[in-house]
Amino acid sequence: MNDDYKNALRAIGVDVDTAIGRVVGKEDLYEKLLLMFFDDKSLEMLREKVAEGNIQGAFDAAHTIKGTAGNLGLDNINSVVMPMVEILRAGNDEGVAAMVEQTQAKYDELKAVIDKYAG
Amino acid sequence: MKREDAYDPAAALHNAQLALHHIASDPIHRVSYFNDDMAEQDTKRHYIISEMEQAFRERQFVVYYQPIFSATTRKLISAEALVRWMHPDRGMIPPGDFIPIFEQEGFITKLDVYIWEEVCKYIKGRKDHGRPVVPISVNMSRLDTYNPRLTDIITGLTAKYHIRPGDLRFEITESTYSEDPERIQEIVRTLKDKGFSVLMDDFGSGYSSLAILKDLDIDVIKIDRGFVLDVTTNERASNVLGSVIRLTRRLHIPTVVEGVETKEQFDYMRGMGCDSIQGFYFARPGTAETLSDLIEKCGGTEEESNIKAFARETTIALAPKGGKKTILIVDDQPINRILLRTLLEDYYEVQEAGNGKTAIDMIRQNAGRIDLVLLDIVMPIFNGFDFLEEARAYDYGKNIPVIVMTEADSTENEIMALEYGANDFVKKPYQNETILLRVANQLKLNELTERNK
Repeated sequence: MNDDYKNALRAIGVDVDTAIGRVVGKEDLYEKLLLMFFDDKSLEMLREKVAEGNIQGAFDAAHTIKGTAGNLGLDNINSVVMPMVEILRAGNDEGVAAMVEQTQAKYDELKAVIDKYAG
Repeated sequence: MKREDAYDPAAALHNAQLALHHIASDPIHRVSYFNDDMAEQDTKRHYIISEMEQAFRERQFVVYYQPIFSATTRKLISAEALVRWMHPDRGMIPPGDFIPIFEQEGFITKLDVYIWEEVCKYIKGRKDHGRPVVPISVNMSRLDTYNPRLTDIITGLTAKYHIRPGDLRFEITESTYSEDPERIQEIVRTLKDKGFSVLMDDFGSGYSSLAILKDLDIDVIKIDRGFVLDVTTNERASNVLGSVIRLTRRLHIPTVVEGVETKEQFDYMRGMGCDSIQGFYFARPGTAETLSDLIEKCGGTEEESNIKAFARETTIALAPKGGKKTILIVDDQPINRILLRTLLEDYYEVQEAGNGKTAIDMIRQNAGRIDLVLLDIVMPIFNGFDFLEEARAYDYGKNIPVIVMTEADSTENEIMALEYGANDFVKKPYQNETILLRVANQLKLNELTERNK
């Protein structure tokens, strides 16, 4: 993982350094995990459950994203997902649909950086 | 004597004295011939002596710091203070050129105290700005140990700069110890009573290494760089080093290995169980500013480092007949499983399950071979609570220690998990050290419970 890549991630709000600490310094592994993050279907699941009005289902999906994103230092994504989890936990879905789209935008932004730098 | 000197009897006599001086303490050579090297050395020597006083007055000596990193957490946990002479005309004079002369001329204590004071100032500066510090080790030369005011000088400095004794560590070399073991034991005792740590430097380079381990209450052992050089290629060297590290671990004395320059050497030392590393592989000696930057960027504490070492130790201590303990990670997210696996696989066998049902099956099929479960609560099918309920109802899963991973925001889950029979919980996002410590503790506890049955 080169410095340009790390800096580009930092620039969009990713806590690269904490995350690399969590993988005991194995930067290659961190790169791989970032790619794997996009294999996960939780965001699609979240969108679906929100559309159905299934708040518990939406909560579970958002909660999963929060956990994984937290582990990978994706503070940019969690800046939207964490407040969303709290709204859902309280049994509401007010404004959640818009937050899902904001989350999607954060995903896209991250994906663009990964596509540009990942070898 | 040289032929040309015949024209200058005074010079000839001087040169002859130099040649004689050259073999003065050498019992084998009875005859010595003068050569130009001796003259050059003599000129250098006089130059250094003549510049010494001014250098002290103008504070031309600058302290450089060589960082020491934890082998387990890879964080900066300490540094050694080294001196550089920045001469206004000659540039940097290497320590090897002037330290021996300072020793011979009786200036070395003055230099050491100067360095100790600079280090105290540095530490105070950091503290005044509310910034973290790491303990700094400084050299204590052979001659310092003969100074009757040694302890007063040291406590005077720490009092003057309001720093804790724990911030400063003293390195004594093995050869200093060998010269007069009893006196050094007394000094080490006094320093330790005052709260300072004492490190044994160049360990293994002299003749009294085993006596030191036996008789000296030393805090840290610094293994001589001579052991590192060929350790990856020379089997005897590696056996000796491995045995030394095992021995120090049994005595609970942490080790620092000096002179680690390559990744290969680092991996090797880490694998052998060495606690911390000093050498170019991590960092070269740098200025105070460089050290401050490093502390900000990757400063850690020895406690964290010890926790990791403890986890490793517990694993070794608990492992029956050399086998590793097995940990089952239960999480529906592959990324989370990989992260935990990466952290744990150095110490344990790691198994994975994507949901509670698979985990139950694995435990049943491997009766008695899974020693601990790390359990995620929120999973789409057969979640953590379902798992606990099922596992605790049957003999095969009744006594397996289970550590639950919960989100920091949900206290109800923690309480519920404990009610369902979890042994402990860790909040997410977790710290690596926390996981290692909790796992080691649970394994140890379980081992004791089993043994008492």
